[in-house]
Amino acid sequence: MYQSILNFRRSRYLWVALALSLASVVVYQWHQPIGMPNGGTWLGYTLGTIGALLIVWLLLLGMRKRSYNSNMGTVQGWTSAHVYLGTALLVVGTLHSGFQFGMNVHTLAYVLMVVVIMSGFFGLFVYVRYPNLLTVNRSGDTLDSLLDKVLKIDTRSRRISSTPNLSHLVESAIEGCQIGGGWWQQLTATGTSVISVPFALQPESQEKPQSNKGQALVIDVLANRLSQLSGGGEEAGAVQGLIANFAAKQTLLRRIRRDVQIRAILKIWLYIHVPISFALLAALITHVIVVFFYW
Amino acid sequence: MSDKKPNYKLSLEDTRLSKRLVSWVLFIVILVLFLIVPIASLMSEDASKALRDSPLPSDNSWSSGHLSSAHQIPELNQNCQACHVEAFEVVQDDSCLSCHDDTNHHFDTSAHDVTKLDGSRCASCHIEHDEPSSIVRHDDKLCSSCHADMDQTGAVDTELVDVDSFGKEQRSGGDSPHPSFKVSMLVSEGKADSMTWSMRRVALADKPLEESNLIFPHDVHMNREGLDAPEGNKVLACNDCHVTDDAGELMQPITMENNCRSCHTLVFDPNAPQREVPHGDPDTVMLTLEEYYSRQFLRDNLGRNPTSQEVRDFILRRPGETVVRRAEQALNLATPWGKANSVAAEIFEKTTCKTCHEISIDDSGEYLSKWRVDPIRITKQWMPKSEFDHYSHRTSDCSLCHDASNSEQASDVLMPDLEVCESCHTGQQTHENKTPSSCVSCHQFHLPEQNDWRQALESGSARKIIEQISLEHQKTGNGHLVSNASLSNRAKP
Repeated sequence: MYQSILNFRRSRYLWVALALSLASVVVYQWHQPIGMPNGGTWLGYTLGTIGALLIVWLLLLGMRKRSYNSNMGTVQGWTSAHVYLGTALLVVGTLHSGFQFGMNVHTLAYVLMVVVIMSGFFGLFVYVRYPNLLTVNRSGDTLDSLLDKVLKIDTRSRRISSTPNLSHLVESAIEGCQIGGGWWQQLTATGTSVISVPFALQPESQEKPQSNKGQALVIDVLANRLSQLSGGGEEAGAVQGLIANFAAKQTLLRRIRRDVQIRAILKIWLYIHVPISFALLAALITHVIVVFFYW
Repeated sequence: MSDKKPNYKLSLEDTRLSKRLVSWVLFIVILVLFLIVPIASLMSEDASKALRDSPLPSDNSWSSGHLSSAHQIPELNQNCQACHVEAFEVVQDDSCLSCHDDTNHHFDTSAHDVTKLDGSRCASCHIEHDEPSSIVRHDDKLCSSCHADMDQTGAVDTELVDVDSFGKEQRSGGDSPHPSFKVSMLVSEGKADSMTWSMRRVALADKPLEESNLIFPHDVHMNREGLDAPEGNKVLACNDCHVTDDAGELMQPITMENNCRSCHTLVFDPNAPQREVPHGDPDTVMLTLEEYYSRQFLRDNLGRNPTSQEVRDFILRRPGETVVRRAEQALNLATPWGKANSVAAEIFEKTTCKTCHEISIDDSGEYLSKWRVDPIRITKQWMPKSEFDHYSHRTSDCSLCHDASNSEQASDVLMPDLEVCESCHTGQQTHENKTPSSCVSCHQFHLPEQNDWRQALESGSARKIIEQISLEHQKTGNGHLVSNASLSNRAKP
């Protein structure tokens, strides 16, 4: 996918962006304004106009993505242009400022612009890097099929729990198993799975909920139980089966959390990129109006 | 027990994160805080002041940079409306001239039909809110945009030479873009008491001679062996005579009293070294000599010091009671008068006066003294069209610019020409190891001798011509404003 965005039509928009950036730099170097370079010279106004139009156009990508009936070029083409021209905006906007920054609404607009572009760079980076990792992690499965496998293991575990204590333990482990969660848990791939272990299996816990992170505790308790049942028998067989089940579930959960994590990373930057874009639009409108209000 | 799939949150869309809500909140907050509230506050002075004093963003947050240091006063810094009077209108000159009403124009607008400055505002050159702040232009383009090609300015009758910038660059190796210097020199006409002077611009390259009527050899005075001074041998330094004014820029005028008299006494009688003739009018010198020798004569004859009345009567040659006494008196008078005359001839023609002054003889009998001293006029400011600060050059030896030790005549003009400046200074765009200097390092734009800016704008002939022509164009339906060519044609007689 990333190949097609960056190489769209032989990187047509890369050359457009390079030409725009280079032209801006050359004219900026050649220009000798009265005083310091600033947004109020003819070049300043020109670069400012180009920058403002670019910002508005770049914002329109969000609308273009949603208008499925549009005939105005492919979304792929728009995205390719969005990436390259958004990068060129960094050059155009910086030269428009004449490198004059301060505690004012103009620099606020500039900083917001830089934040949007930088978050966009991060977005581009994850779009290049993470889809491949996602495929590797799924290795032929889908998220749904992985979840189905977990459900099947759970069903099997419930079935082979031969004693009430084991049933209690297994049920608590299944009920307390958490997948996904808030944005932080998704991003960090941390589950907050809990378990309350029956008194008979772990008296010191007093059946209070404990962390079952990575299904470690349930496997630990089952292993202890197995060591107590050194003579074998029906329960020992059941415990062995359960250990195998939870170990398998442990692996599946790891892959599911990694899947959730990769998809969260692929999207989290948009929660910066999009709202700050709108903040930028407000700052841009303010910037343009006040510049002429106090001309 | 249930096989139902739990309601897991497996994507960011399932979390409480929201793009849409945050977008709207940020959009509205920024617009309200930075635009709507500050604009609304401008409806009332109290409200805008209260907002500026509050931690909330006010119209101060619209300022793209600091004001220049001179403008950082509360009246301006906390009051945008002092300059930005009308919304969506560029700052008008009236705002600037309300304080700077003594600003002068660059040239005589009634004499030159220069159109290039028409339409310029103060703020065209004086840029505020720039970082780093520099309210005064220092770039050469300020000057070269007109002076590089004066024909383009509409000034058809100017004698000004085209100037591009200052300093010769080693790389280019061509001629200097700045012409050689001219000096403003006093030139005399007439003789002695009827002598008049006028200021002329003369190129240093033409080796002009100053006509000050002063006799002064710099080389003698700068003798390294020293000079015979009253207190003994003395080696003079330049600043024994040449002292800068209080501003440290120009040299104070040289005067006999301040600079010469400590060595050049006006003693006329070696037997009376404390007596000197007055410096100034030759008739007063003559009178002094007559009075001195008459008093001496009377003292010798009377055997006592004469009274003032007796001296006065003697000098005024008051007739005695008898013819015999008058004859005696005439004989008596001959002695002091002859003495005074011979001493006067000596000091006027050979020694005291003649050391420094040109002396001429006037036998018409109009004056008490037939010796007349040609008046002295020394040029005070050789280069009035530029600014030079001696103080900032104080670490340099005077001889770097003024070749005084080889000057034998007072008529030598000891001002340095362009090459001397270029030995240390060069243009702004330099690749040399010299001091980069712009036009305004030496020249002013607003010239003190010109009309004030506002008056010049209102009464300038160039402006009137433009208005007249644009009026004509309006009548004939031609919308184009005046061109340089049409203006030039009109300016020609």
